[in-house]
Amino acid sequence: MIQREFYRTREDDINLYKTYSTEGFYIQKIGTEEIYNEAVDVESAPYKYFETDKKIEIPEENIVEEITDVEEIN
Amino acid sequence: MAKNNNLTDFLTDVADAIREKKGTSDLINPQDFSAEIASIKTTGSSHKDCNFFDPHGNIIYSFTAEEAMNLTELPVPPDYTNKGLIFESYTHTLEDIHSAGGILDLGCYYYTDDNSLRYTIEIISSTEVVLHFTSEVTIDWGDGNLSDTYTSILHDSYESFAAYQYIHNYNPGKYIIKCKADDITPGMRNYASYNGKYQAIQPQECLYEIAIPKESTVRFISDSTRVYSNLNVIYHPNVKFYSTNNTTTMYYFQACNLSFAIFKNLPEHNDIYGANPLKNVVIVDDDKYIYKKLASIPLDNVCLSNKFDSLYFSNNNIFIKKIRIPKNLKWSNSQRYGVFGTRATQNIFLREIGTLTDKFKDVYINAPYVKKIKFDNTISGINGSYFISNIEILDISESTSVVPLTSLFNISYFKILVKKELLEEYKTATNWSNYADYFIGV
Repeated sequence: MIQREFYRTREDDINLYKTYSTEGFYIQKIGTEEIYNEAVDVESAPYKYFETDKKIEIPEENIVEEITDVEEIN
Repeated sequence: MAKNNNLTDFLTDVADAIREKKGTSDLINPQDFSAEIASIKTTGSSHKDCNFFDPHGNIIYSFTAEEAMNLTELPVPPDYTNKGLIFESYTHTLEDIHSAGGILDLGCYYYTDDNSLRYTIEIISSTEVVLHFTSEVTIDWGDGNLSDTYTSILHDSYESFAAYQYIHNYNPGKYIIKCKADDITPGMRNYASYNGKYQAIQPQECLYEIAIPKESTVRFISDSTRVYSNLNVIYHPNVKFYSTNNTTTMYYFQACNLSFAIFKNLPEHNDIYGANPLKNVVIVDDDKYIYKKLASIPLDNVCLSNKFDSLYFSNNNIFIKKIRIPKNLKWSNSQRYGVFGTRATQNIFLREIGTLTDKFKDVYINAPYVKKIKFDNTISGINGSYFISNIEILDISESTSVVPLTSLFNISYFKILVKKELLEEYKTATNWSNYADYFIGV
Protein backbone atom coordinates (compact mmCIF):
# COMPACT_ATOMS: atom_id res chain seq x y z
CA MET A 1 0.00 0.00 0.00
CA ILE A 2 1.21 3.48 -0.79
CA GLN A 3 1.68 5.71 2.21
CA ARG A 4 2.23 9.48 2.07
CA GLU A 5 3.12 11.27 5.27
CA PHE A 6 4.64 14.47 6.52
CA TYR A 7 8.42 14.13 6.63
CA ARG A 8 9.88 17.41 7.89
CA THR A 9 9.98 21.15 7.40
CA ARG A 10 13.01 22.57 5.68
CA GLU A 11 14.85 25.62 7.00
CA ASP A 12 13.15 27.67 4.29
CA ASP A 13 9.80 26.61 5.79
CA ILE A 14 8.91 24.34 2.91
CA ASN A 15 7.22 21.14 4.03
CA LEU A 16 8.40 17.80 2.72
CA TYR A 17 6.25 14.71 2.33
CA LYS A 18 7.49 11.16 2.07
CA THR A 19 5.80 8.51 -0.09
CA TYR A 20 6.64 4.83 0.28
CA SER A 21 5.28 1.30 0.12
CA THR A 22 4.19 -0.07 3.46
CA GLU A 23 4.96 -3.56 2.16
CA GLY A 24 8.55 -2.79 1.13
CA PHE A 25 8.00 -2.61 -2.64
CA TYR A 26 9.57 -0.14 -5.02
CA ILE A 27 7.27 2.68 -6.01
CA GLN A 28 6.99 4.26 -9.44
CA LYS A 29 6.19 7.86 -10.24
CA ILE A 30 3.03 7.89 -12.31
CA GLY A 31 3.57 8.99 -15.89
CA THR A 32 7.29 8.25 -15.73
CA GLU A 33 9.63 5.28 -15.60
CA GLU A 34 11.25 6.52 -12.42
CA ILE A 35 11.49 3.88 -9.70
CA TYR A 36 12.13 4.80 -6.08
CA ASN A 37 12.69 3.11 -2.76
CA GLU A 38 10.92 6.06 -1.25
CA ALA A 39 10.14 9.54 -2.52
CA VAL A 40 10.48 12.78 -0.59
CA ASP A 41 8.83 15.73 -2.35
CA VAL A 42 8.04 19.30 -1.57
CA GLU A 43 4.45 19.84 -0.50
CA SER A 44 3.48 21.53 -3.74
CA ALA A 45 4.90 18.77 -5.99
CA PRO A 46 2.23 17.23 -8.26
CA TYR A 47 3.77 13.75 -8.29
CA LYS A 48 1.83 10.62 -7.50
CA TYR A 49 3.15 7.09 -7.14
CA PHE A 50 2.01 3.53 -7.41
CA GLU A 51 3.39 0.40 -5.82
CA THR A 52 5.36 -1.93 -8.09
CA ASP A 53 5.50 -5.69 -7.60
CA LYS A 54 9.22 -5.71 -6.96
CA LYS A 55 10.55 -5.92 -3.43
CA ILE A 56 13.25 -3.52 -2.37
CA GLU A 57 16.58 -5.33 -2.15
CA ILE A 58 18.63 -5.13 1.00
CA PRO A 59 22.32 -4.88 0.16
CA GLU A 60 23.77 -5.89 3.51
CA GLU A 61 23.19 -9.58 2.86
CA ASN A 62 25.57 -9.53 -0.04
CA ILE A 63 28.24 -7.66 1.84
CA VAL A 64 28.52 -10.49 4.31
CA GLU A 65 28.98 -12.94 1.47
CA GLU A 66 31.67 -10.78 -0.01
CA ILE A 67 33.66 -10.47 3.19
CA THR A 68 33.63 -14.23 3.50
CA ASP A 69 34.81 -14.57 -0.06
CA VAL A 70 37.76 -12.27 0.40
CA GLU A 71 38.84 -13.78 3.70
CA GLU A 72 38.85 -17.23 2.20
CA ILE A 73 41.15 -15.96 -0.48
CA ASN A 74 43.55 -14.63 2.08
CA MET B 1 74.50 2.96 -1.54
CA ALA B 2 78.28 3.27 -1.95
CA LYS B 3 80.09 -0.01 -2.46
CA ASN B 4 82.86 0.71 -0.02
CA ASN B 5 83.50 3.11 2.74
CA ASN B 6 85.76 5.51 0.84
CA LEU B 7 85.36 9.01 -0.57
CA THR B 8 85.65 8.07 -4.24
CA ASP B 9 82.85 5.54 -4.07
CA PHE B 10 80.76 7.96 -2.08
CA LEU B 11 81.15 10.75 -4.66
CA THR B 12 80.51 8.35 -7.52
CA ASP B 13 77.37 7.13 -5.79
CA VAL B 14 76.07 10.70 -5.37
CA ALA B 15 76.87 11.49 -9.01
CA ASP B 16 75.10 8.30 -10.15
CA ALA B 17 72.01 9.30 -8.18
CA ILE B 18 71.98 12.74 -9.79
CA ARG B 19 72.51 11.24 -13.25
CA GLU B 20 69.65 8.83 -12.72
CA LYS B 21 67.30 11.58 -11.57
CA LYS B 22 68.23 13.79 -14.52
CA GLY B 23 68.31 10.98 -17.03
CA THR B 24 71.81 11.78 -18.19
CA SER B 25 75.17 10.08 -18.43
CA ASP B 26 77.20 13.31 -18.31
CA LEU B 27 80.20 13.67 -16.06
CA ILE B 28 79.37 15.65 -12.89
CA ASN B 29 82.11 17.18 -10.82
CA PRO B 30 81.68 17.23 -7.02
CA GLN B 31 81.86 21.04 -6.91
CA ASP B 32 78.73 21.08 -9.09
CA PHE B 33 76.70 18.69 -6.95
CA SER B 34 74.62 21.35 -5.19
CA ALA B 35 73.80 23.15 -8.44
CA GLU B 36 72.96 19.87 -10.15
CA ILE B 37 70.65 18.78 -7.35
CA ALA B 38 68.96 22.19 -7.28
CA SER B 39 68.30 21.93 -11.00
CA ILE B 40 66.50 18.60 -10.77
CA LYS B 41 62.92 19.19 -11.74
CA THR B 42 60.47 17.51 -9.45
CA THR B 43 56.86 17.05 -10.37
CA GLY B 44 55.73 16.00 -6.92
CA SER B 45 53.20 13.29 -6.43
CA SER B 46 50.18 15.13 -7.74
CA HIS B 47 48.44 13.33 -10.51
CA LYS B 48 46.67 14.92 -13.38
CA ASP B 49 44.45 13.19 -15.90
CA CYS B 50 47.31 11.80 -17.96
CA ASN B 51 50.44 10.74 -16.12
CA PHE B 52 53.71 9.30 -17.33
CA PHE B 53 55.62 7.22 -14.80
CA ASP B 54 59.22 6.13 -14.84
CA PRO B 55 59.99 2.54 -13.78
CA HIS B 56 60.56 3.72 -10.23
CA GLY B 57 57.04 5.08 -9.90
CA ASN B 58 57.93 8.74 -10.21
CA ILE B 59 55.72 10.94 -12.32
CA ILE B 60 57.87 12.32 -15.10
CA TYR B 61 55.14 14.13 -17.00
CA SER B 62 51.54 14.91 -16.18
CA PHE B 63 48.89 16.60 -18.23
CA THR B 64 45.29 17.61 -17.92
CA ALA B 65 42.96 15.74 -20.25
CA GLU B 66 42.79 18.77 -22.50
CA GLU B 67 46.57 19.05 -22.63
CA ALA B 68 46.89 15.34 -23.31
CA MET B 69 44.41 15.52 -26.17
CA ASN B 70 46.55 18.23 -27.73
CA LEU B 71 49.74 16.19 -27.57
CA THR B 72 51.17 15.55 -31.01
CA GLU B 73 53.94 13.24 -29.86
CA LEU B 74 54.87 11.33 -26.76
CA PRO B 75 57.36 13.06 -24.46
CA VAL B 76 60.99 12.00 -24.27
CA PRO B 77 61.33 9.02 -21.91
CA PRO B 78 63.97 8.85 -19.14
CA ASP B 79 67.40 7.92 -20.42
CA TYR B 80 68.95 4.95 -18.65
CA THR B 81 71.66 4.23 -21.18
CA ASN B 82 74.21 4.89 -18.45
CA LYS B 83 72.67 1.92 -16.64
CA GLY B 84 72.75 -0.22 -19.75
CA LEU B 85 69.01 -0.06 -20.30
CA ILE B 86 67.37 0.71 -23.63
CA PHE B 87 63.95 2.29 -23.86
CA GLU B 88 61.52 -0.01 -25.63
CA SER B 89 58.21 1.80 -25.54
CA TYR B 90 55.61 3.44 -23.44
CA THR B 91 52.76 1.24 -22.35
CA HIS B 92 50.43 3.14 -24.66
CA THR B 93 50.58 5.06 -27.87
CA LEU B 94 49.58 8.61 -28.61
CA GLU B 95 46.47 7.20 -30.25
CA ASP B 96 45.62 5.36 -27.02
CA ILE B 97 45.77 8.64 -25.12
CA HIS B 98 43.49 10.34 -27.60
CA SER B 99 41.00 7.49 -27.69
CA ALA B 100 40.90 7.54 -23.87
CA GLY B 101 39.90 11.17 -23.92
CA GLY B 102 43.23 12.22 -22.47
CA ILE B 103 42.67 10.26 -19.25
CA LEU B 104 45.32 7.60 -19.07
CA ASP B 105 48.38 6.58 -17.08
CA LEU B 106 51.45 5.39 -18.90
CA GLY B 107 54.59 3.60 -17.89
CA CYS B 108 57.70 2.81 -19.88
CA TYR B 109 59.49 -0.40 -20.65
CA TYR B 110 63.23 -0.97 -20.86
CA TYR B 111 65.40 -3.92 -21.79
CA THR B 112 69.07 -4.65 -21.20
CA ASP B 113 71.59 -3.56 -23.82
CA ASP B 114 73.67 -6.75 -23.66
CA ASN B 115 71.02 -9.46 -23.77
CA SER B 116 71.50 -10.25 -20.09
CA LEU B 117 69.14 -10.90 -17.24
CA ARG B 118 70.15 -8.44 -14.55
CA TYR B 119 69.64 -8.49 -10.84
CA THR B 120 70.39 -5.37 -8.86
CA ILE B 121 71.19 -6.56 -5.38
CA GLU B 122 72.13 -4.88 -2.17
CA ILE B 123 74.18 -6.71 0.40
CA ILE B 124 73.97 -5.37 3.92
CA SER B 125 76.51 -7.69 5.53
CA SER B 126 78.93 -10.10 3.93
CA THR B 127 77.14 -13.15 2.69
CA GLU B 128 77.02 -15.68 -0.08
CA VAL B 129 74.47 -15.25 -2.82
CA VAL B 130 73.09 -18.36 -4.46
CA LEU B 131 71.52 -18.35 -7.90
CA HIS B 132 69.58 -21.19 -9.47
CA PHE B 133 68.67 -21.65 -13.11
CA THR B 134 67.06 -24.44 -15.05
CA SER B 135 69.97 -24.41 -17.50
CA GLU B 136 73.59 -23.34 -17.61
CA VAL B 137 74.28 -19.63 -17.69
CA THR B 138 77.28 -17.33 -17.68
CA ILE B 139 77.43 -14.82 -14.88
CA ASP B 140 79.10 -11.49 -14.30
CA TRP B 141 78.78 -11.07 -10.55
CA GLY B 142 79.21 -7.30 -10.76
CA ASP B 143 82.23 -7.11 -8.49
CA GLY B 144 84.86 -7.94 -11.06
CA ASN B 145 84.35 -11.68 -10.85
CA LEU B 146 83.00 -13.86 -13.63
CA SER B 147 81.62 -17.34 -13.46
CA ASP B 148 80.87 -19.71 -16.29
CA THR B 149 80.66 -22.94 -14.35
CA TYR B 150 77.99 -23.95 -11.94
CA THR B 151 78.76 -25.08 -8.45
CA SER B 152 76.52 -28.11 -8.56
CA ILE B 153 73.49 -29.62 -10.24
CA LEU B 154 70.50 -30.25 -8.05
CA HIS B 155 67.62 -32.53 -8.93
CA ASP B 156 64.06 -32.80 -7.83
CA SER B 157 62.85 -36.00 -6.24
CA TYR B 158 61.74 -37.41 -9.59
CA GLU B 159 65.03 -36.54 -11.28
CA SER B 160 62.96 -34.86 -13.94
CA PHE B 161 64.26 -31.35 -13.54
CA ALA B 162 67.61 -29.94 -12.59
CA ALA B 163 68.75 -26.70 -11.06
CA TYR B 164 72.14 -25.31 -11.89
CA GLN B 165 73.44 -23.69 -8.75
CA TYR B 166 75.88 -20.78 -8.69
CA ILE B 167 77.35 -19.39 -5.48
CA HIS B 168 79.29 -16.20 -4.90
CA ASN B 169 80.46 -14.36 -1.79
CA TYR B 170 79.80 -10.65 -1.49
CA ASN B 171 80.94 -7.86 0.74
CA PRO B 172 78.39 -5.21 1.68
CA GLY B 173 77.43 -3.00 -1.24
CA LYS B 174 75.21 -2.62 -4.25
CA TYR B 175 75.91 -4.82 -7.25
CA ILE B 176 74.46 -5.64 -10.63
CA ILE B 177 74.58 -9.31 -11.56
CA LYS B 178 74.40 -10.06 -15.28
CA CYS B 179 73.31 -13.53 -16.37
CA LYS B 180 73.25 -14.82 -19.92
CA ALA B 181 71.85 -17.90 -21.58
CA ASP B 182 69.84 -18.69 -24.67
CA ASP B 183 66.75 -19.53 -22.66
CA ILE B 184 67.06 -18.32 -19.12
CA THR B 185 64.72 -19.46 -16.37
CA PRO B 186 65.63 -18.68 -12.77
CA GLY B 187 64.71 -21.20 -10.10
CA MET B 188 63.92 -24.83 -10.59
CA ARG B 189 60.75 -26.51 -11.66
CA ASN B 190 59.45 -29.45 -9.73
CA TYR B 191 57.98 -32.48 -11.31
CA ALA B 192 54.34 -32.11 -12.28
CA SER B 193 54.06 -28.55 -11.16
CA TYR B 194 55.53 -25.12 -11.43
CA ASN B 195 56.46 -25.16 -7.79
CA GLY B 196 60.03 -24.13 -7.40
CA LYS B 197 62.23 -26.30 -5.29
CA TYR B 198 65.15 -23.90 -5.36
CA GLN B 199 64.74 -20.17 -5.28
CA ALA B 200 65.95 -18.05 -8.16
CA ILE B 201 68.11 -16.05 -5.79
CA GLN B 202 69.00 -16.46 -2.17
CA PRO B 203 68.83 -14.52 0.04
CA GLN B 204 65.66 -13.32 -1.62
CA GLU B 205 65.56 -10.02 0.20
CA CYS B 206 68.77 -8.80 -1.45
CA LEU B 207 67.04 -8.44 -4.82
CA TYR B 208 65.97 -4.87 -5.63
CA GLU B 209 65.61 -4.62 -9.39
CA ILE B 210 65.18 -6.90 -12.37
CA ALA B 211 65.88 -6.09 -15.99
CA ILE B 212 65.54 -8.60 -18.81
CA PRO B 213 66.77 -8.98 -22.39
CA LYS B 214 64.86 -7.66 -25.36
CA GLU B 215 61.95 -9.76 -26.59
CA SER B 216 62.30 -12.28 -23.81
CA THR B 217 60.08 -13.56 -21.08
CA VAL B 218 61.70 -14.59 -17.84
CA ARG B 219 59.83 -16.84 -15.49
CA PHE B 220 60.78 -16.95 -11.84
CA ILE B 221 59.89 -20.16 -10.11
CA SER B 222 59.57 -20.09 -6.36
CA ASP B 223 58.39 -22.52 -3.76
CA SER B 224 56.77 -20.08 -1.42
CA THR B 225 54.81 -16.90 -1.38
CA ARG B 226 55.79 -13.45 -0.25
CA VAL B 227 59.33 -13.71 -1.41
CA TYR B 228 61.48 -10.98 -2.96
CA SER B 229 60.27 -8.64 -0.27
CA ASN B 230 62.57 -5.83 -1.38
CA LEU B 231 62.01 -6.08 -5.10
CA ASN B 232 61.08 -2.59 -6.17
CA VAL B 233 61.58 -2.19 -9.87
CA ILE B 234 60.88 -4.37 -12.85
CA TYR B 235 61.91 -2.70 -16.06
CA HIS B 236 59.77 -4.84 -18.32
CA PRO B 237 56.49 -6.66 -17.69
CA ASN B 238 57.64 -9.94 -19.18
CA VAL B 239 58.81 -11.07 -15.78
CA LYS B 240 56.55 -13.72 -14.35
CA PHE B 241 56.46 -15.09 -10.87
CA TYR B 242 55.09 -18.50 -10.12
CA SER B 243 54.57 -19.40 -6.54
CA THR B 244 51.78 -21.92 -6.67
CA ASN B 245 51.21 -24.77 -9.02
CA ASN B 246 49.72 -24.09 -12.38
CA THR B 247 46.37 -25.64 -11.67
CA THR B 248 45.30 -23.11 -9.08
CA THR B 249 45.11 -19.38 -8.83
CA MET B 250 48.39 -17.72 -9.53
CA TYR B 251 49.41 -15.30 -6.87
CA TYR B 252 51.04 -13.16 -9.43
CA PHE B 253 52.15 -10.33 -7.26
CA GLN B 254 52.46 -12.22 -4.07
CA ALA B 255 56.02 -13.16 -4.73
CA CYS B 256 57.21 -9.61 -4.83
CA ASN B 257 56.91 -6.33 -3.11
CA LEU B 258 56.89 -3.81 -5.87
CA SER B 259 56.59 -0.20 -4.96
CA PHE B 260 55.54 0.52 -8.48
CA ALA B 261 54.49 -1.37 -11.54
CA ILE B 262 52.82 -0.73 -14.81
CA PHE B 263 51.80 -3.85 -16.62
CA LYS B 264 50.13 -3.94 -19.94
CA ASN B 265 49.85 -7.64 -20.36
CA LEU B 266 49.66 -9.57 -17.16
CA PRO B 267 50.32 -13.15 -18.04
CA GLU B 268 48.16 -16.16 -17.52
CA HIS B 269 46.11 -15.03 -14.60
CA ASN B 270 42.45 -14.46 -14.30
CA ASP B 271 42.57 -13.15 -10.80
CA ILE B 272 45.11 -11.21 -8.86
CA TYR B 273 45.09 -11.85 -5.18
CA GLY B 274 47.03 -11.34 -2.06
CA ALA B 275 49.90 -9.17 -3.06
CA ASN B 276 52.17 -7.40 -0.72
CA PRO B 277 51.73 -3.66 -0.79
CA LEU B 278 51.83 -2.14 -4.23
CA LYS B 279 51.87 1.57 -4.78
CA ASN B 280 51.11 3.57 -7.86
CA VAL B 281 50.06 0.50 -9.71
CA VAL B 282 48.63 0.88 -13.15
CA ILE B 283 47.11 -2.19 -14.65
CA VAL B 284 46.17 -1.43 -18.19
CA ASP B 285 44.44 -3.09 -21.03
CA ASP B 286 45.29 -6.58 -21.94
CA ASP B 287 44.68 -8.02 -25.32
CA LYS B 288 44.24 -11.59 -24.20
CA TYR B 289 43.03 -11.89 -20.66
CA ILE B 290 40.19 -10.58 -18.61
CA TYR B 291 40.92 -10.05 -14.95
CA LYS B 292 37.84 -10.78 -13.02
CA LYS B 293 38.83 -9.88 -9.56
CA LEU B 294 41.26 -7.69 -7.79
CA ALA B 295 41.19 -8.47 -4.14
CA SER B 296 43.06 -7.94 -0.96
CA ILE B 297 45.80 -5.91 -2.48
CA PRO B 298 46.89 -2.92 -0.47
CA LEU B 299 47.13 -0.51 -3.33
CA ASP B 300 47.87 3.16 -3.30
CA ASN B 301 46.61 5.10 -6.24
CA VAL B 302 45.18 2.64 -8.65
CA CYS B 303 44.14 2.95 -12.23
CA LEU B 304 42.65 -0.27 -13.41
CA SER B 305 42.24 -1.83 -16.77
CA ASN B 306 38.80 -1.80 -18.24
CA LYS B 307 39.12 -5.56 -18.45
CA PHE B 308 38.31 -5.89 -14.78
CA ASP B 309 34.67 -6.70 -14.56
CA SER B 310 34.31 -6.29 -10.86
CA LEU B 311 36.29 -4.90 -8.02
CA TYR B 312 36.46 -6.32 -4.56
CA PHE B 313 38.38 -4.64 -1.83
CA SER B 314 38.61 -6.14 1.59
CA ASN B 315 39.15 -4.27 4.79
CA ASN B 316 42.80 -5.04 4.37
CA ASN B 317 42.95 -2.49 1.60
CA ILE B 318 43.78 0.24 4.00
CA PHE B 319 46.25 1.97 1.75
CA ILE B 320 43.97 2.78 -1.13
CA LYS B 321 43.74 6.52 -1.36
CA LYS B 322 42.59 7.18 -4.85
CA ILE B 323 40.86 5.06 -7.40
CA ARG B 324 40.07 5.94 -10.93
CA ILE B 325 37.58 3.42 -12.13
CA PRO B 326 38.17 2.80 -15.80
CA LYS B 327 35.80 3.70 -18.52
CA ASN B 328 33.61 0.90 -19.75
CA LEU B 329 34.03 -1.15 -16.62
CA LYS B 330 31.44 -3.87 -16.74
CA TRP B 331 29.78 -4.00 -13.41
CA SER B 332 28.23 -7.30 -12.60
CA ASN B 333 24.55 -7.14 -11.90
CA SER B 334 24.94 -9.73 -9.20
CA GLN B 335 27.49 -7.71 -7.32
CA ARG B 336 26.48 -4.33 -6.14
CA TYR B 337 29.54 -3.22 -4.28
CA GLY B 338 32.06 -1.95 -6.71
CA VAL B 339 33.99 0.00 -4.16
CA PHE B 340 33.99 -1.88 -0.99
CA GLY B 341 35.64 -1.61 2.36
CA THR B 342 38.45 0.60 1.29
CA ARG B 343 39.22 2.15 4.58
CA ALA B 344 41.73 4.72 3.41
CA THR B 345 40.12 5.60 0.13
CA GLN B 346 39.53 9.30 -0.05
CA ASN B 347 38.72 10.11 -3.61
CA ILE B 348 36.78 8.16 -6.19
CA PHE B 349 35.96 9.17 -9.71
CA LEU B 350 33.44 6.86 -11.28
CA ARG B 351 33.12 7.15 -14.99
CA GLU B 352 30.51 5.88 -17.37
CA ILE B 353 28.60 4.12 -14.68
CA GLY B 354 25.57 3.44 -16.78
CA THR B 355 21.92 3.07 -16.07
CA LEU B 356 20.09 3.40 -12.85
CA THR B 357 18.52 0.06 -12.25
CA ASP B 358 21.02 -2.34 -13.73
CA LYS B 359 24.36 -0.83 -13.15
CA PHE B 360 24.55 1.99 -10.72
CA LYS B 361 23.26 -0.11 -7.92
CA ASP B 362 26.36 -2.23 -8.38
CA VAL B 363 28.42 0.56 -6.99
CA TYR B 364 28.15 0.10 -3.32
CA ILE B 365 30.14 2.65 -1.41
CA ASN B 366 31.40 1.24 1.86
CA ALA B 367 34.61 3.09 2.35
CA PRO B 368 34.58 5.03 5.60
CA TYR B 369 37.29 7.46 4.63
CA VAL B 370 36.03 8.38 1.21
CA LYS B 371 35.77 12.15 1.12
CA LYS B 372 34.78 12.82 -2.44
CA ILE B 373 32.90 10.89 -5.05
CA LYS B 374 32.57 12.28 -8.51
CA PHE B 375 30.47 10.99 -11.36
CA ASP B 376 30.74 11.91 -14.96
CA ASN B 377 27.79 12.94 -17.08
CA THR B 378 26.79 9.37 -17.89
CA ILE B 379 25.34 8.71 -14.47
CA SER B 380 21.62 8.28 -14.88
CA GLY B 381 20.62 7.72 -11.30
CA ILE B 382 21.84 7.47 -7.74
CA ASN B 383 20.60 5.19 -5.03
CA GLY B 384 21.45 6.96 -1.81
CA SER B 385 20.91 3.86 0.29
CA TYR B 386 23.99 2.32 -1.27
CA PHE B 387 26.19 4.94 0.27
CA ILE B 388 26.94 3.72 3.73
CA SER B 389 30.03 5.78 4.25
CA ASN B 390 30.10 9.40 5.25
CA ILE B 391 31.41 11.50 2.43
CA GLU B 392 32.16 15.20 2.29
CA ILE B 393 31.54 15.93 -1.37
CA LEU B 394 29.29 14.32 -3.97
CA ASP B 395 30.14 15.85 -7.32
CA ILE B 396 27.51 15.41 -10.03
CA SER B 397 28.18 18.75 -11.64
CA GLU B 398 29.03 17.19 -14.98
CA SER B 399 25.44 16.08 -15.46
CA THR B 400 23.41 18.43 -17.63
CA SER B 401 20.05 17.35 -16.23
CA VAL B 402 18.82 16.40 -12.78
CA VAL B 403 20.06 12.93 -11.87
CA PRO B 404 17.26 10.85 -10.32
CA LEU B 405 17.83 10.01 -6.67
CA THR B 406 15.94 6.78 -6.03
CA SER B 407 16.47 6.65 -2.30
CA LEU B 408 17.53 8.92 0.51
CA PHE B 409 21.09 8.85 1.68
CA ASN B 410 21.96 7.08 4.88
CA ILE B 411 24.73 9.50 5.56
CA SER B 412 24.99 12.80 7.35
CA TYR B 413 25.72 16.25 5.98
CA PHE B 414 27.79 16.56 2.83
CA LYS B 415 28.15 18.98 -0.04
CA ILE B 416 26.52 18.23 -3.37
CA LEU B 417 28.08 19.91 -6.37
CA VAL B 418 25.65 20.42 -9.24
CA LYS B 419 25.57 22.50 -12.34
CA LYS B 420 24.62 26.05 -11.39
CA GLU B 421 21.78 26.17 -13.91
CA LEU B 422 20.13 23.18 -12.24
CA LEU B 423 20.39 24.38 -8.66
CA GLU B 424 16.75 25.40 -8.15
CA GLU B 425 15.49 22.36 -10.02
CA TYR B 426 17.43 20.07 -7.68
CA LYS B 427 15.92 21.74 -4.61
CA THR B 428 12.44 20.65 -5.65
CA ALA B 429 13.33 17.33 -7.29
CA THR B 430 12.12 14.12 -5.71
CA ASN B 431 14.35 13.10 -2.80
CA TRP B 432 16.90 15.78 -3.61
CA SER B 433 14.46 18.18 -2.00
CA ASN B 434 15.53 16.75 1.33
CA TYR B 435 19.03 18.09 0.74
CA ALA B 436 18.19 21.62 -0.39
CA ASP B 437 20.75 23.10 1.98
CA TYR B 438 23.53 20.86 0.73
CA PHE B 439 23.74 22.06 -2.86
CA ILE B 440 26.50 24.15 -4.33
CA GLY B 441 26.12 25.34 -7.92
CA VAL B 442 29.31 25.23 -9.92
